[in-house]
Amino acid sequence: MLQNYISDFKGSLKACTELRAQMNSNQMVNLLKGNLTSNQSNNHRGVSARIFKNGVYGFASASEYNRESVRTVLDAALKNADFLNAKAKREPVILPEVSRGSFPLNMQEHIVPQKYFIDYAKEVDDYITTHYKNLDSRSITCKQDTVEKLLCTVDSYESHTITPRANMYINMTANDNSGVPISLYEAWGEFGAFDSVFPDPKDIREGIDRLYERIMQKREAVYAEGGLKQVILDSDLAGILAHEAVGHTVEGDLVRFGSVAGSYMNKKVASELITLVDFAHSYEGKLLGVPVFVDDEGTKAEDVVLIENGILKEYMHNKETAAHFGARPKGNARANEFVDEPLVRMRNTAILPGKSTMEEMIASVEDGYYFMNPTNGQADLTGEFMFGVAMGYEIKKGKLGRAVKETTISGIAFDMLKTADMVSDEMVWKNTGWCGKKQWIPVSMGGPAIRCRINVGGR
Amino acid sequence: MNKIEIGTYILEALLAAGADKADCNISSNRVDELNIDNGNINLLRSLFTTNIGMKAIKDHKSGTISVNSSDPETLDKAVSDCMEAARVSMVEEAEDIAELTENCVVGSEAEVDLELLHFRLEELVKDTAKRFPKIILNEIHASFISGSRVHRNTNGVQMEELYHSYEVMIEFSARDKDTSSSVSGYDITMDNLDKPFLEIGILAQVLEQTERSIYPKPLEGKFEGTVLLIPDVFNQLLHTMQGLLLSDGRLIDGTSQWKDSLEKPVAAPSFTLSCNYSDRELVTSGDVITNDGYRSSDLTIIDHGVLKSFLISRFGSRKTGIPRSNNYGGYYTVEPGDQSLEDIIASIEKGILMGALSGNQPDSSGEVSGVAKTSFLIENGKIKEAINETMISCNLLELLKNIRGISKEQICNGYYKLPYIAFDGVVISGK
Repeated sequence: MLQNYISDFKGSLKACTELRAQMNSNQMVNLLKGNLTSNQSNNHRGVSARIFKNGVYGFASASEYNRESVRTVLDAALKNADFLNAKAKREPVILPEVSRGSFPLNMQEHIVPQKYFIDYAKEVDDYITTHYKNLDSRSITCKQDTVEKLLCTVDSYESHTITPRANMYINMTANDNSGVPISLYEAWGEFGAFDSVFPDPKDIREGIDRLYERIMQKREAVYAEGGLKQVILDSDLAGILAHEAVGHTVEGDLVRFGSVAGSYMNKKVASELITLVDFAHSYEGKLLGVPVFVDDEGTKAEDVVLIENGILKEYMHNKETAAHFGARPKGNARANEFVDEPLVRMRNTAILPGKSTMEEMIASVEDGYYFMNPTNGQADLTGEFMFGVAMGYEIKKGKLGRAVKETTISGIAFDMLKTADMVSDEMVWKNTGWCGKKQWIPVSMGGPAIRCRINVGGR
Repeated sequence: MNKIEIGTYILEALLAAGADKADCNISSNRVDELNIDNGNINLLRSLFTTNIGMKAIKDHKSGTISVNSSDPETLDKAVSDCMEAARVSMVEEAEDIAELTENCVVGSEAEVDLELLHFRLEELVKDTAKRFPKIILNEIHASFISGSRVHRNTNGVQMEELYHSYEVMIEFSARDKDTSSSVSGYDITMDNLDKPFLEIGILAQVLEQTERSIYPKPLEGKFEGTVLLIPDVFNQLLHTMQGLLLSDGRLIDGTSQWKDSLEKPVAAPSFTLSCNYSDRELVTSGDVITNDGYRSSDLTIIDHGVLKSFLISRFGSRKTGIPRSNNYGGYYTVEPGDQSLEDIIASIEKGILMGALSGNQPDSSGEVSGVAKTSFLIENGKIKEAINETMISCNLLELLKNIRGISKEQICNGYYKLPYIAFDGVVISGK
């Protein structure tokens, strides 16, 4: 646990100053074809200070965390702010006022022994090797990332939070019918310590069985046909759609850079079946994968309704972009490590469920695809997005057909969302994702399955 | 304690705690970074960072711990955790530490010239506004990193690297009234600030291409054609190739499709790929000493199409029997060809000039697909209009055998020295 040295400095802090002590801990074990290729534990703590002065920021951080280093980073941050302020040729910016308060420690630290990760991974590996003989390789990664943050400000919220996230990734590789290796992975994850989220390896056997069944189908996969197609995006793809296709275009800093969403506020950007929210910490009373109670600028976190029944309603902000747009920040300023400054980031982003069943949705497609298993994704100011898809099936005359090979799907977000004409009644959260935007940071995504028209990369 | 003393402290503590062998990496650096946001220099960050990693091997079982503080209490706990991680680990005969060959001190540190860095950034903003008035410099991160790292182990290995470099990461788009182009990016690295940033690599050309791509047209239909990559995109594919075909993971589990291809042709004969740490035009600062205790030296990976080496560490080498490679990749050089870029373009019947690729993470099969961004149609030997909503699909292994042309022009941005390269047989599909 972090010692609280920073509160001793509260009396000397000026407005628009964040003093943050932070510890990022990571434990990871990887078994690659039964070989232990990683058995590591990392623990990085430090302190940073950021000072805002007339529209510029000075920031400094130090690995050593004690009273002396807190003083050092405050002095260095002020020096940096003064350096820039002397050179800046811009109008002063007034940051919005936010509520003040204190968010007390949300949970106690819980250390999971390294042996737990190794034993868990070995038992999963043994299950796979015992039951499945047609694999060329398998990789099992068990990990936990925990972030502890202590934040001190004089004009915003203060907080002390601990947020562990436990994840497991299984990747299988097999040879296809022509002897070419193909892979497929599955990921699991939730907020919490690894031994709480994964108490028993038997709990994920159903998921492992499903992964194996799919990779065996993928051995006989065909290329998808390239072009504009009607598709059912499984819930994990809907989540990445919410994040990549829409989420990035409505981050306040990107809107200021010229995101296409800048001209769409209060306009129709999706079908009325689509409501998209960036949740702060909870959904239907349950804590989400990346709960943010107070962000790293000291803003108390609230949900942001980005799209409501197809209409663009809000952007996500830090204090500076909120000032620019005359909006209220709602806790989207996040920093990954103590060396990082807060940026506008998503938290738990999801499309809300609808009323259709999966059976109805698949039966409704005459000629298209059912896609699942996203690999990665990217977005653009123009609204053009892409994500990689590792698994899918043809749909012909309302029935699932052959598996399809790796492909990529893309589109222009606000055009594609207008084609969403069926939304399933289930809500599935995926708490395994990371988002890169100068800093890699954990994010959570969710959603139902969606029927829409999208560009498919194929042969 | 200085780094050598910290290393001694750690190794002695691990041996005293029962380790058979151990190694450690200790580094500290200072980073000063200026950030531009929406055309204004609005953030100066100064980071003082320490990283200490240690590995203990006992009874052929290993554990690895990393912390970022050198106070004795933190180090003692790390040693204890490291030994515990080793104790509960699995037997892995391939785990080892570097053998003692020749200890060394390489590189140099330097002080940041913050005033000059600020000047070069302001110069970039002014010159860009003058030459490319539609370009918006969304974000720029310009940093100076200076530090040192030490690798030590219980075989007596002691390697020290001092390093310094400037790195500038530029993200931009073009705008005309309410219409924006795609976001583009270009990174450069250097060890001095002698040149204006616009004169480094092909930054100016990429800015110009981005300006010309504000009003793209969707490509119609689908065809098999030629893709001409700018060096940046080519570098991205080389890194993908490294992970899929050349590095430890895929070799250890046997899924690299090149695992049996040493001394066999894997690419067109015109293709020679190397990774040269002695090349002074490349800024390899901070990466010369590997984490497993070796000094990187030059390496030819593919020679006139024939695979000559993998990029495999000591651990990977002991697992597979493949000799450890001279370095572990990352700073690529491809030998230039004998055609000018202009001649290559003139030879293309139908294809695209690709300024950026937003693509998937391919699996072992090497299937790559993605969206072509800041790209232009090439038809009958001429570059035509900018295009959008265009996807490409190909296989990375087949691509290297279908090289149409490699340009005479070889571009260096400090991270790589690469020519332009054109590949045939790529499926290009539009709306």
